[in-house]
Amino acid sequence: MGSKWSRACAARIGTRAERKRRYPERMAARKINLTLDEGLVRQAREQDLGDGTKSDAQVVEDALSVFLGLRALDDARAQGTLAPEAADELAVAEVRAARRARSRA
Amino acid sequence: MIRAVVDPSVLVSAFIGDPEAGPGRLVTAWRDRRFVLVVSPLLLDELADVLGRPKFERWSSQGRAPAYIGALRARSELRPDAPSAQPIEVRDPDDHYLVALSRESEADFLVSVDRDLLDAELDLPVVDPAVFVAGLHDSAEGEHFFTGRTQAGRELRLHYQGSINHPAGVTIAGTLDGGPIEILGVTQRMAKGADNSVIVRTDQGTFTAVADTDPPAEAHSAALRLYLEYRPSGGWQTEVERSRFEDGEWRFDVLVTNERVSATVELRMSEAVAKTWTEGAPTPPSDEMVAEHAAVMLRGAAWPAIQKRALHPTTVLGGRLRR
Repeated sequence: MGSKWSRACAARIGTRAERKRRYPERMAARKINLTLDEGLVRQAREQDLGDGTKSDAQVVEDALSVFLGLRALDDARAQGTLAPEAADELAVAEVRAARRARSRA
Repeated sequence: MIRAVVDPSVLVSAFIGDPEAGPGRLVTAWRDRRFVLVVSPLLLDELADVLGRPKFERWSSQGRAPAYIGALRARSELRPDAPSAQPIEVRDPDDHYLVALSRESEADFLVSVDRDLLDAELDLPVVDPAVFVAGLHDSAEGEHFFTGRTQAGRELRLHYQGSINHPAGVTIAGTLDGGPIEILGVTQRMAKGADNSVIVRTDQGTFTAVADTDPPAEAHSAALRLYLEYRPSGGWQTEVERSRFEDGEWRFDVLVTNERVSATVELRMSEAVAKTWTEGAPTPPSDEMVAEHAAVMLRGAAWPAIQKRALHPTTVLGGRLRR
């Protein structure tokens, strides 16, 4: 068990193991200090799909990820969308190619 | 809540395709938390790999693909990659990790747009996104899923009651020209070009109805398909309809049904094999033996696989299968 301080940090930003799992080597994680509205954090936690064991930092980061990801999806679609059959066909062909390449590697 | 493993091809199609198509509606359902997306590191890596390809530059550039994948990861159930030591049951062995992940995570569905997976004979439900999203409707009052015309031009409407996510327990109610009728059975007889017609047994007689082609029909027929193609946990019911001796071999027409859809599969058996079944007696195996053999052979088969067998006779090469 760590000190009271390290346990408090873990509650806010997640344990070292959690952080390692969430931020693979290729992904840079930047430590920042934020002051957030408590109600906002509570809302984010209510909206979260997790089992309630996530740290506040994790919950807020996930909520931000979903927000930005959905914006990105809208932006991608704004570039023009393919007809359903064409989109499925291209997606299946490229996924198969990726799997073959991985299998060969 | 329903949990599903979604083939990356669906997530790619949703990213580049019409939001109103099946994959797009699946992502909307994920956004609205109507099901839990189950992912693994390999699945997310594969999605990143594919969206990073030059063909997707138009959609993926300016950090859009990593943001999209980040969102999917943030609101999903992340499971470790499942070991793929089990026997490969899909046409392309590279697809197997999705099957392994679905089994290990005990997901309710594997969702794909890839025919290799949709047609595979697996003991877990593999559905396309439109069927999956249609199945997320869960109405206690009954969801309207079919409108069609009988041969006499009467309007037939069907509703399911219960959860379509558990098709074994679903019951069907209906109206004929607006008046309530008791539905005794809905079946779809396999026949070329008859995908949108159903045979409905009611307290007022039996009707063949062809589905209307209004836009909602897609979602309705998806729900209908999920209901009709339900794979009974105890296996398909089989019954020999006809047997005959032709061209030096025994031929058996076996009716295969789940009491919702039915198809006739032809089993062919050489005289030599027939004799091993009858311990040397020069008679055909009994209908019960043949039906049992067909039941064992088709036990885990999905409906499309049975339809394929109905189009091509199957030759029994060896001895009788055992349960």
